[in-house]
Amino acid sequence: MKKKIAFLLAMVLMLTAALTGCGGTGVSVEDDGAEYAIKWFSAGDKSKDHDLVFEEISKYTKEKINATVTQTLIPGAEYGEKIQMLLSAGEPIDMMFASNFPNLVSDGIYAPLDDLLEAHGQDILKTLPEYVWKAVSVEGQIYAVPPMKDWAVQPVLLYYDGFKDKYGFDFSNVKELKDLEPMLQTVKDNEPGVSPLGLRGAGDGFAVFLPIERVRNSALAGFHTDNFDKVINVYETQEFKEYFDLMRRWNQKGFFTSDAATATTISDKVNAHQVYMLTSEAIPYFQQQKNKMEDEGWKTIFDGRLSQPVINTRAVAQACQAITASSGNPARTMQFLNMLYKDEYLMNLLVHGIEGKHYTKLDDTYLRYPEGIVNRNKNDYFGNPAYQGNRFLLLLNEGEPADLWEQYAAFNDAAYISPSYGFNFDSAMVMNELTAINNVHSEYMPSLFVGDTDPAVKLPEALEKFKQAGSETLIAEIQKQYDAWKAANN
Amino acid sequence: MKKFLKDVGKNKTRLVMALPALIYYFCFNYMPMFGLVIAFQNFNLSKGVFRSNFVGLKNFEFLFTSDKAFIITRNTVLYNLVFIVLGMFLACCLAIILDILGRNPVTQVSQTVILFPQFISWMAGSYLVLAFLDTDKGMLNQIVQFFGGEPSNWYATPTWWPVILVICNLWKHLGYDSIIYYSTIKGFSGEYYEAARIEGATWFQQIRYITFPLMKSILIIMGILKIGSIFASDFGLFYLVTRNSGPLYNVTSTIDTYVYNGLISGGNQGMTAAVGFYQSIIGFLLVLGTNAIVRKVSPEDAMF
Repeated sequence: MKKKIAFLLAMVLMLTAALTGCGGTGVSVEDDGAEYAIKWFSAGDKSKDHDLVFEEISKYTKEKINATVTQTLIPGAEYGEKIQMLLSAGEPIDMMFASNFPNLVSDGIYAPLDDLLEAHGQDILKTLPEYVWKAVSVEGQIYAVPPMKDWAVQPVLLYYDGFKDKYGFDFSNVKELKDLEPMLQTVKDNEPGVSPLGLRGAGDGFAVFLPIERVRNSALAGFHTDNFDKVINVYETQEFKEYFDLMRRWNQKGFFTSDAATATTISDKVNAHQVYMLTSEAIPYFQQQKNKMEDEGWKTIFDGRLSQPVINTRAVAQACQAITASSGNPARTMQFLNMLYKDEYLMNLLVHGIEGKHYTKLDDTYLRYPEGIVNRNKNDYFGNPAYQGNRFLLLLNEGEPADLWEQYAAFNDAAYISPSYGFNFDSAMVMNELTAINNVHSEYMPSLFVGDTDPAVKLPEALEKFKQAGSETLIAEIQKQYDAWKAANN
Repeated sequence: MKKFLKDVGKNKTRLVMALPALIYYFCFNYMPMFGLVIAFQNFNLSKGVFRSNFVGLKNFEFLFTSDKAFIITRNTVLYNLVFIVLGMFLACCLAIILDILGRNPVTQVSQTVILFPQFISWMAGSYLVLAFLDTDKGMLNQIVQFFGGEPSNWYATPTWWPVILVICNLWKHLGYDSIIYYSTIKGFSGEYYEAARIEGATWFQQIRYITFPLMKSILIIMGILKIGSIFASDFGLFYLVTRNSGPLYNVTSTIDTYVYNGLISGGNQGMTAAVGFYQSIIGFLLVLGTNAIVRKVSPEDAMF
C-alpha cells in the first residue's frame, strides 16, 4: 500500500511538473540558421481569413529569415488572464503581447532585449526614438518593444456638433470645466431624451483635465503637475475637492444619465445619440474617428482646448510586444519583429491582409477595401495596426489625409514628456494595503465621480477610510521607489 | 493489504462502474489540489510551483488585517445561512404543494417555469433586476410614482438590499431545489398516506407526521452539502446584480467581491489561492462538524 501511495505521489509530481513547465534563463543572441516556427500570441479578435493571411506571411518570412509564423489571438478582455494560464501550463510561446507592462517582468517571463536588439533589431533601434525605451525598461534592462505609432495622448472633450448652430454655443470662452455649464444646461432644458453628460463612475470623467497625474495601478497616488517630487493622495488636492463639488452640482441639475454611478459602459448611449458630451483620449486620429461618426449622422467634435498632449509611461508601454525568456529561438523572433519596422509589404499584409483579396492598392499612399466594406473591422481580414511594428509604413484608407502619418509624428513631437515618465511602481511590498484601498476606492469613488453622493460628507469619509486602509504606507512606499528611480535616472 | 485485495475482488463490478467518476475526480479535483501550495508562496510564473519562494502565511494577511474583515465575513455567512434555511424550507413547501396538486397540465407547466431561472446567468439576471430598479425607467419607481410616491435611487440605498438579494437568490434556485425534494416525495410509498387517510388524518397532519419525517434525511444531506460552501459567496449575485455599487458595500460586500475588487488590477495568484484555500478549509471543517453533530443527534441520518 505504501508503495502504491508513493507511486501515485510521484505521478502527481511528474504531471504537475509537466504542467507548470520550466522557464529558461540567459538568452542567446546566436542563431543556428535552421528553419524555425515562431509562435506569436497577441490580443484581439480573430478574423475569418486569419489563417490564410498567416500562411502568406509565413511564405514570405520563410524566404527572408527561414522562419514561419503562427499567430494566436486571444480576445482583449480575456488576454491577461488567459496568457497567464498558458504560460503556467508551459505553452511554447516565442513572442507575446505584453499587456499591462511591467506585469510579468518580475515573474521572469520576458527575455531581456538589449543584446538582441543590438544584434538583430537594428531597424527597430533606428525607427523608434530614444525616449521610448525608458517606458519599457525595468532596472535598466529593456523587456518589450513598443510599436512605432502615436504615443502621445490628449484628453479631449467629445461633443455633438449639431447643437452648436442650433443654440449658438460659443466654445471660445471655455477655459475651465465650469464654463461648460451654460451649454449643458441648454441641452438639458431643450433636448428631452439627451443627457448632457455621458460620464460614468468607473471612469475618470472630466477629472482627466485636472492638473494631476496618477501613478499607474495605485488607485489614489499621484502627482500634482506643479510638483513632480512629491507623491500625494490625489483626492486630497483642492482640485479634486472642487471637481467633486462641481460634479455634485451638475448631478443635481440632472446632467448625468440615471445609471451613471454603476454603468459599465456608455457606448450604447453614445451610439443611440442619447448623450451630448463626454471625454475621450484623442490623437490626430480625430479626423478618422469623426468620419466614422458622421457616417452615422452625428457629427462629433474633438475639442482639445482644456488639455495638452502628453507622453507618459502608460501611453508608450500599454501595447508592446515581448520575446519570452523560454523562446526556442529568441534571435530569429527578434529578426521577425525587426522586419515589422522596415518591411512595408509585411506590415501591410499583417494589418490589411492580402492585396487583391482584402484590399486593392490605389497608389503608394492609399488602399481601398472591397465593395460594401465601410468599416475595416467588417473585412474578411483585419489586423490590429497599433500593437506591433511601424504603423507609419501602412497604406491609408481613402479619405484619410495623405499626411496622416506626418500629423501623427508631429503630434508626438508636440507632446511634452512627463517628468515621471518611465517610472513604474512595483506593488509587491504593499499588496495588503492596496487591496484594502482598492475596495475603499470602489466603494466611494464611483458615486463621487458622478456626483451621486454629497462630497461634503462622503469625501472626508472616503479620505479617512483610505487612511485606515493604509494609504499613507502606500504613498510612502511609492515615494521611496520614485526617489530611487529618480536618483538612478537623472 | 490482503483484506484490501479481497475487498477489491468482491466489489469488482461496482468499482468498474465507479471508475470513470473516480478518474474524473482524481484528474480534476485531486491533482490540482497540489497547486494549493502557491497559497503559501510568493508565486513566480517562470519559477513555477517547485521553485517559487515560500512565504508562510503572508498571502493570508490581507484578508484579516483589513477593517472590512468582519463585514465581509458576516455578510458571506449570514446571507448563505438565510439562503440555506429559507431556500430549503420554501423549496420543501413548493415540492409538497406540487405533490398535493398532483399531475395535471398546470403543475407540469409551472414546474418548467420555476426551473427556468436556474439556467439564466447572473449577467442576464442582473439586467432583469435593473429593469425593476433603474432610477428613471425601472418598473418599481414607475409604480411608486404612479401612486404618488417619490422615486428612489435603489442602487445607492442599502436598506432594501438584503431583501432584494434574498429574493434574487430564491428566484434563481428555488425551482431547481424543489424538483429534488419533489422527486424524493414521489418516491415515498403511497401506503403510508392511504393508511393515514383511513385513520382520518388531515392533509396537514399527513405532511407533519409522514412527509416531513421521511424527508429528514434528504434535508440533512442537502443541508450539509450547502454548509460546505458557506464561506464562498455567489459572485454573480453579489457583484453583477448589485452592479458593484459602492454605497451598498456595507450590506453587499462578501469575501469574493472584496477579493475581486482588491486584486482586479495586478492579479496576485498567491493571494487569490490563499482565499480559495481558506474558504475550502473552513467549508470542509463545517461539513465535518455538522455531520458530527448529526451523528450525535440522529445517527441514521449522518452522511458518514
